[in-house]
Amino acid sequence: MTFTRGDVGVLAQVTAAIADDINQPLMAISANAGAALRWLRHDPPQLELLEGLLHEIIAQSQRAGSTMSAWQTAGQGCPACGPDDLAAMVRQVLAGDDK
Amino acid sequence: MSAPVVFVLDDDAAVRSSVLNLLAAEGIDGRGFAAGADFVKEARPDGAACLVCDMKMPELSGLDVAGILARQGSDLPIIFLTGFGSIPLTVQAMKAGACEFLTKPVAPEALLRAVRDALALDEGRLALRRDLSALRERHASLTPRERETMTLVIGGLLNKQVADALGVSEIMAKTHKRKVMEKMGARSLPDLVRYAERLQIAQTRSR
Repeated sequence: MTFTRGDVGVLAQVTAAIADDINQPLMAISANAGAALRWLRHDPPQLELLEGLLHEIIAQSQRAGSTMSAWQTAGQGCPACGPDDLAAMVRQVLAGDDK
Repeated sequence: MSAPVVFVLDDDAAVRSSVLNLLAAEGIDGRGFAAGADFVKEARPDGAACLVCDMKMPELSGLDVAGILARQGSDLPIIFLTGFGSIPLTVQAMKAGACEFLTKPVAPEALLRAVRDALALDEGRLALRRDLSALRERHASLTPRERETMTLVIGGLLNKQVADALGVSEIMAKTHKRKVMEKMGARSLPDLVRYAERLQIAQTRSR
């Protein structure tokens, strides 16, 4: 299939929307892991805090996975759809965002 | 001196609490806000502070919050976080007074480095703000006559000229001048001139 200039613009928007969605849980994972490392190195190590942070890291990994699945579901059959459908798809996925 | 405070403004609860977790693990006092409208009502603490702010939020965006702070005359250092960085967005953020612009996910060390830099920046400004308010208090303690003397003295007028301008004896002019120097905590005339500049006091006459 061929892409028009409009398609590329939509693609850029979709990419930005996906990045925005996925980077939220990744940010939470990164900051919580940083906190976990610090409590581990603490003297004495704060294991209870560490445990809570690891649970949160698992939850945020799951969130990243579900977000990606939602995008994949929305993207099924995508090569056949035009820019209008893509924009509708973006809106649909964003509306379904569970944050 | 009060401990530094880091405000964390992000509508995403998981991101907000993770940043607060990281700050807590580093021994830094953090306060979280979910909406810009709540944050802008918050009074600025006495000590150094900075804001870690998400760019994309419903209602007030990060740029909106920066705009409100600027209109309030606040120079609170802002570290912007964005889920998706782009050059136009970076430019906008920098124009809005951001001291740092980071794209999520930010490495913990990079975020903490940005926070420490922002707090150090605010600490420096805090010292300047404190000095200026001390100077204002000292200037306020001058009598009207002494204030008048000060505006004449900073123009480099001789005691005789000051006396003539005030319509008093040279001895009285010297006494006023000595009191001004004493109360303003100025050890020399150049000191007094510098203080006057910082207080934006204009000289009435110069030699």
